[in-house]
Amino acid sequence: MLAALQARAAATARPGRVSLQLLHKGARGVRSSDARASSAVQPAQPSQPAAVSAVVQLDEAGFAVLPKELPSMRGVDFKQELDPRYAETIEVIIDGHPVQVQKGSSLIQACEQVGIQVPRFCYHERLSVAGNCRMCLVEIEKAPKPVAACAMPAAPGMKVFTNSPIVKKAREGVMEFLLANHPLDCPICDQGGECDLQDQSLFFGSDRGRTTESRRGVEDKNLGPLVKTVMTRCIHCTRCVRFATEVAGVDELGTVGRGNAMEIGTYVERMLDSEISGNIVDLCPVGALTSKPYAFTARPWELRSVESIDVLDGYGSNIRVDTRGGEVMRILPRLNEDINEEWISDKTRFAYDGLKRQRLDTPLIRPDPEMPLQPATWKDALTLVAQKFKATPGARIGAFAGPLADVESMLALKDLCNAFDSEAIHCDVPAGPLADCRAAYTLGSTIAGVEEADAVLLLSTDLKREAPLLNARLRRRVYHDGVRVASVGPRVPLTYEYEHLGDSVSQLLELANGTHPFCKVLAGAQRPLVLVGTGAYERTDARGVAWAVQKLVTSVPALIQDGWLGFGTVQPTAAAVGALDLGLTPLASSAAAGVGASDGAIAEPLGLVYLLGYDSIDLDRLSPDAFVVYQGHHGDVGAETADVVLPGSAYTEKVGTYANMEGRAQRTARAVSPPGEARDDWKILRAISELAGKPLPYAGVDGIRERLAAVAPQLADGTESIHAVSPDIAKAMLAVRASDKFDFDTKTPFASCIDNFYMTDAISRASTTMASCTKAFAK
Amino acid sequence: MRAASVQRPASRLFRTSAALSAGQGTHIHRDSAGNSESTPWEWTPESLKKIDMYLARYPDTPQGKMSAIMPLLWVAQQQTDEAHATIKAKPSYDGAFAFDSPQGSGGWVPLAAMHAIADLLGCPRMAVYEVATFFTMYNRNQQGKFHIQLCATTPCMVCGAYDILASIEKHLGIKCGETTADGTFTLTEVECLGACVNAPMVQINDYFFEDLTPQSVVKLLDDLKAGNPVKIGPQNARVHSLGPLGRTSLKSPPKGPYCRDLSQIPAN
Repeated sequence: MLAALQARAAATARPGRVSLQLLHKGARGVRSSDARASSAVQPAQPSQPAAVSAVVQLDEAGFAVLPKELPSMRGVDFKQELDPRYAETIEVIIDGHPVQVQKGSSLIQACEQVGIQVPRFCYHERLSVAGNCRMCLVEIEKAPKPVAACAMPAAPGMKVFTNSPIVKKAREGVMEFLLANHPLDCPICDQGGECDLQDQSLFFGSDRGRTTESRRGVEDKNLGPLVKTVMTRCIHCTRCVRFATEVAGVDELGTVGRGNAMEIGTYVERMLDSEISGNIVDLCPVGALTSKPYAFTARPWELRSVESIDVLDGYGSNIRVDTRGGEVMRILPRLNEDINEEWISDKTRFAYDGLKRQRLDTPLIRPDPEMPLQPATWKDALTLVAQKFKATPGARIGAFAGPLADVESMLALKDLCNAFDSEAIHCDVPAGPLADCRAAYTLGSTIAGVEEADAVLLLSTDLKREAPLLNARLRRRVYHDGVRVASVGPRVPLTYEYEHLGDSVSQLLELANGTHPFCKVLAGAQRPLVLVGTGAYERTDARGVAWAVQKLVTSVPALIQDGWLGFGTVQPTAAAVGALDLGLTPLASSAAAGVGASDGAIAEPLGLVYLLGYDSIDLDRLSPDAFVVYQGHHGDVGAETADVVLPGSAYTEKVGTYANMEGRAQRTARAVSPPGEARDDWKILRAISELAGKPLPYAGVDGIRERLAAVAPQLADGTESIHAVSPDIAKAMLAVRASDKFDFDTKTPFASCIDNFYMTDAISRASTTMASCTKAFAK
Repeated sequence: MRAASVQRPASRLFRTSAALSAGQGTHIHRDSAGNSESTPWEWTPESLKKIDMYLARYPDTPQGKMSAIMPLLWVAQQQTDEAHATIKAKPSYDGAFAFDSPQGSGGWVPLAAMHAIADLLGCPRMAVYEVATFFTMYNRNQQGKFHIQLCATTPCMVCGAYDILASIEKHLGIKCGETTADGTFTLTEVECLGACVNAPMVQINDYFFEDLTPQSVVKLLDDLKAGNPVKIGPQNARVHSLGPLGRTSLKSPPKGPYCRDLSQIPAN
């Protein structure tokens, strides 16, 4: 009977996204000769989104008839369209080759566009130019001395030499000065093997030193539980300082002192309180800033890397999982311009130690309600669950999918319950009344599109914690373009200036009625954006709030227009969009998270409760005779209450589809094997269906993908594209009736849906690193 | 001793810059009894007047205001000079005069004052720390009542600055970078103070004491401590910076051509 589980191991790892774009999207530099041959200097015209402009048809039940071919946002590159720089190129002569490079490039960018690597420490394409390491010195014809390529704009006809004797001598001189004070502790340095200084000293370093001076020593700084500092190794590139001030929006880091006594530090001892502070570990070109949890655990050449995606929040960051001997050693970001660029949040990066603790690795059965759970065989456990499915009437079967559930397992769960006449399949999403409208529960603007917005309204969200990288994008928009941001919700620091309009429903109603002054700002904007946190729907008056949001959204014409959907929800979990796409029932409110209370749809107390990684069960509302099955990977609250525990796989151990907050379906990859007897989640459900006598009509991963394509084609194509909702459908779905009346709770303030950024799910709750972060940072 | 002690290395390596030997130790703040985030800080009315004057000089933008970090740090340092009133400064020749208010060299900038400046200018605290640690004339640790800045750059050194230093160290029982136990004197070695002709010299708070000998500097310190009148400027018979031949140049108004008379040029 385990044949179904063991047959056809899911070895269908998706080929990783190859994205080697180093600089800008759009036109890459091409050699002139090629350019002349093909005259392909101009970037390819971006394909326009195929917007559906037909009037929406409604079927008999009143639902919109959706077009078979959904319009796709794939291929649309706003930046390319808007930035005229991409169309213009100039000719520079690099190392004797005439090449076309983008106008406005610096020399280092120009060299990169034609594939010439210039060594650098301080220059980083996403940070401002500092020009203080001097490693990128190049020679320019007629210039009296070598110039820093990162700070020198390319001019037409400029003759640049990147490999001449002068350049070599200059770089050797710079390297000698850098190494004069750098300790020779590579054998005990965590950066060893992936260190820019180490690599470049192979090319430009001398095999002996000439200094007789003693090396300087610098005191280490305490930046918190994530970033380990060995400040003597610092070469003062200031990348960390620039990242902290420009991207993360924390001003605590700076350079103190001067000359040889200069240090990077905080002056007054202070931890780096940012949700994306871990990125300075990646940015540091030497071993001054390294990962504290990863310290001394592995060397880079021992690691096997698997390209995957993160599921600990709704952002869908692209990650690289580094493993050694079946153990996840660390998680690093992977470049994806549309989502996380090259950053990831600290939870994504550091919660991996939670994958090794509190794991469920064998099936467990509670022989008697008073007794503890006992280890059992898969056969006994699955048979018991199958019997319960057969014995319980459909109306008394309820299923709940948790925040880490993948689309395949939720689909199998839904099919299984439906086969036993149960419709009560819930998901842990407080999307509430707007759960039928994809335009409402996804981020219609797309993540990258947030940077197109010119007026932003936040509702009931603490964006810095719910989606730190989205917040960083918005911050960039505010700082570079002065976009106005207003918030109705918790008054929290967002790392940029915003107008706090209040935190009560009254302000939302004023906005919806058009009487609030900020309505003028929204109405005057070309691409306004309204971002709603799911905290808005976790209230008792969620229906009224949803109505008011709909009214607000439909009252501003520019919010929904061709090519721009300026309304969206910031989903905090990776399962949310997938669950709603599959038609799982959202919980009306967190208060209703008890069993059998969702929207009053279930009258009878549940006899069989199936928890798929669902840990927010309300024990008091669970009927005492209910049989609880918990399928998941961590021994969290859900497993403690269960009568049967079925061990599943975590996101690093399976190939699972997840849709992020913008509705982009991406797949995780299997980096390590599940521990012990744990299995792929959807296969467990498939096995139950077989034992219960109603086998699901798919046995392999291809089968379930086919089924997924039939149920939710936007999740199945695996192209990582976003299927945009057409403006007409969005308008029709969001239309409100003026006659609707709701009771509003004006006393309860709008709150964020998460209290503690560092602990939001079973994995991060089991992580000791996240526990120390909670201790250090959570307020 | 109140300030952190820093040993002066025997030989001058390139890391023993004035910044390190100037009594400031490392560039990391350490809380002490009189200098922590919770130490109260109030601007005096005179300081506030000066702050208004300085703020008016810079554009009223976030960046423009940050330009005022330097003068405001100096205002804080003027405010903390407690010894100025006790120095009975006696000009050594006609035409020289004593300052009627502290000029800033005798004070220090507490952490709380840096925070007050950051709040006043609406800039990150780190921006103020960066400026305060960059410049060696901002004293970030509590100083003694009298801050002796001994010049030991080449001309003074050639004229015996280290003899003066040894004399002070012996007399006060402290080394460079240290403060006496009673909190009266802090001794630091600094780079050129621009009185090379009258070397060797020390600056104590706002006043220069030049043409010192190992004996005269001891008397000077004793007089300061006792509150006796002290002669500012050359401690010998020298007038201004005149050499042994007296005045040899600029004896009469220089011949023309002069620069244009600006008062004759109409405004705009």
